[in-house]
Amino acid sequence: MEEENSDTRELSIEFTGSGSEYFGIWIVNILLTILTLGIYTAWAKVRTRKYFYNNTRMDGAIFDYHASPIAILKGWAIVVGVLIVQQVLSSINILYGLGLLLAIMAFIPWAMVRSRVFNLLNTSYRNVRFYFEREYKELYTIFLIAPLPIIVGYGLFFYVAISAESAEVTPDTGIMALAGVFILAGFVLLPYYLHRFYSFIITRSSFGRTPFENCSSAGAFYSIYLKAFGLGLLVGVAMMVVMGVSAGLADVADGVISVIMGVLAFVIYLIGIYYVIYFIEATKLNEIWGKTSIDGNRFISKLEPWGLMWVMLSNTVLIVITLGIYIPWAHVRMTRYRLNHLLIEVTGDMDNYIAKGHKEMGALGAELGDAMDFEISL
Amino acid sequence: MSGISANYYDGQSSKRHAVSIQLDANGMLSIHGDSLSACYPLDEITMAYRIGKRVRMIKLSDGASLEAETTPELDAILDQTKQHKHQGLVHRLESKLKYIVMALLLTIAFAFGFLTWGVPALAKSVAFSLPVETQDYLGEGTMEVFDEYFMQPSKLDKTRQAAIEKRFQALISGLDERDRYELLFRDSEKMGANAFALPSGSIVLTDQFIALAENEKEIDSVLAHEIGHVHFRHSLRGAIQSSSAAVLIALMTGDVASMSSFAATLPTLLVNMNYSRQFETEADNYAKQLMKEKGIEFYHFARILTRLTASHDVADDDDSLNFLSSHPSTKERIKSFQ
Ligand SMILES: [Zn+2]
Repeated sequence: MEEENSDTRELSIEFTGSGSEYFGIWIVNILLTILTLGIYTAWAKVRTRKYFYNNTRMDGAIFDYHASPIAILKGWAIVVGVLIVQQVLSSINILYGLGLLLAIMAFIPWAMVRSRVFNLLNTSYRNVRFYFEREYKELYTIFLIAPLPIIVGYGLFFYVAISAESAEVTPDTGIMALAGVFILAGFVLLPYYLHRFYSFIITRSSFGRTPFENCSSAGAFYSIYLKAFGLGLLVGVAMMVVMGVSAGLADVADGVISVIMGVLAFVIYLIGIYYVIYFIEATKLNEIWGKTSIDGNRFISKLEPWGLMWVMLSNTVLIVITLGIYIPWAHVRMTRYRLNHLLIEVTGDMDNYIAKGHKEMGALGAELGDAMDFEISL
Repeated sequence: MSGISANYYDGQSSKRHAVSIQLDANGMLSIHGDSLSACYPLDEITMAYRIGKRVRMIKLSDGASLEAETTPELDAILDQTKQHKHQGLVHRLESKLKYIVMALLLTIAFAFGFLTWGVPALAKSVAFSLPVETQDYLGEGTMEVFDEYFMQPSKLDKTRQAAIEKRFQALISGLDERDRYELLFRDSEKMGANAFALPSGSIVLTDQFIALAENEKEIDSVLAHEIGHVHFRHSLRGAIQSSSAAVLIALMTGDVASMSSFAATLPTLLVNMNYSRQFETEADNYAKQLMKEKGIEFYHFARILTRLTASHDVADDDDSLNFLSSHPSTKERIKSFQ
């Protein structure tokens, strides 16, 4: 039925779902969720995932999702319970509420790992489950250290500014400069930690017993952000030029031209900003996926900033115009676009991945991660 | 042998076996391939989801699985398992056009009902259960911003201020003890002739408004309307309503933080316009009640409102609320006070 040779071939990932078919699932999910006062969300989530996974096809085989709605429901109930407690505590004393919120935040890295474990464990391809190593230390390290210089910098800045204000003296320029150095250093270090984060997420994942490998470098991340920074500057300069011309024209020509130039400047700004955002997203994912391999089979990611931006912005516009009815088509379009730009270069066949025994696990971390939207997606 | 073609995976490795499956005479699911042959009683099919129309994933009790394109024959076999049959109902809802249309209409009806009655009722109960400090806090915050950007200290002379304050005290005497009111005077070229109420119970009159009023009773009538806003905690309810409607729609349509569901909440802006109109009517009715008690004729309000509307060339009313929504109703409001 399939060719089994040792030639290298490029496998594309095909998405076979359709917006109209997903619309039925989506609207029934919403209705049943309303009718059951939210209980159905667990089933809704499983059915949605299952629909998208079952329509993701690679080399004649499809992906599958196995999470049990009951496990998700339990996690969901606990999260709702915690949120209610948080609300009650905040209404008694806002500080209690904030305290609990801080405590919950301390669980974010844990929830991210749990969520990743839960979702990978419940994903299969050719009846072999994916897997994620439960390791919390690295994420806690990244989340604690990465924002530290920025927090210290801003803390120092506001402390000096406020104490100078109340004493009615000019703030100490030396300390202000130090604060600036901290903040700058924090931002300069971000690509490094971001790379460390993605690298952690990928290299702890495996397909059955076979781990994913990643050889992306922090340097590539720096080059992406540097280019994005340059693009941002360019957008700024272009805007200044247009606005300058418009101001200059205001004296000689009538108001219409300067209004047109003003609109033009705004359009340049909007397109420019979105382009920078999707440039970062596309090049970053291309870099991460492009340096990822499993058992010598390499991924190839061909996302393009303009394409991504077009799908995203047109989806948003259509969702607004249709008062939300377009959402299922938007999801399908985005998924198809992303999957169509991901390929895997395979040598030989994919018959030899060995499964790893798995235990069912609770969905609390996954739900907490989901509830706070910290699920990791690549 | 005729059977349904499928791919079989044993769950131990990713190796694919092309097989053909069929239900044999003994009610067993028999699986045949080049290198394998197996038989499963139907109750050993542990999971067969029914989503979408393309494929069916079938889990077997020993961890193996089957992947097959959907055919009526396959669904007929799978329907003999309990789980698949149960899901038949949800699957029919999800895939038959008439049920989808029904689900859509019902959902729209729910959303509409919820936005029209649910959210306001919810906001009302929240606004009245929040401690007074919250309101003070919100009011002070708003006042600071206004003072910084839109308003200057009043240039009205102190005796005039005291006179208005005295009439204000007379107006609020005998009102609900739990409500607190405070009258503030400000000068504001930017806001023009204006009167508005803050969550903290502060009612602000601009010098431009005082100048526009032809007699004290006109000022009283507008104060009565603003007292109504404070009494019903309208500004707090408005804030809660506009934010909760957005959050709830986002929750209903799925993931909260994604851009698409954020976009879906934009239509709630339309809903908010309607809310503010309801508040005006409520405050107007309260004002009528109070004016009747204190012996202030209704036409005073009609006259000052007419002049206020004219003084702002766009037809925004005393709260500078949405002019789209209040424009058609301003005339009606004036009429109801004549
Ligand atoms: Zn009003």
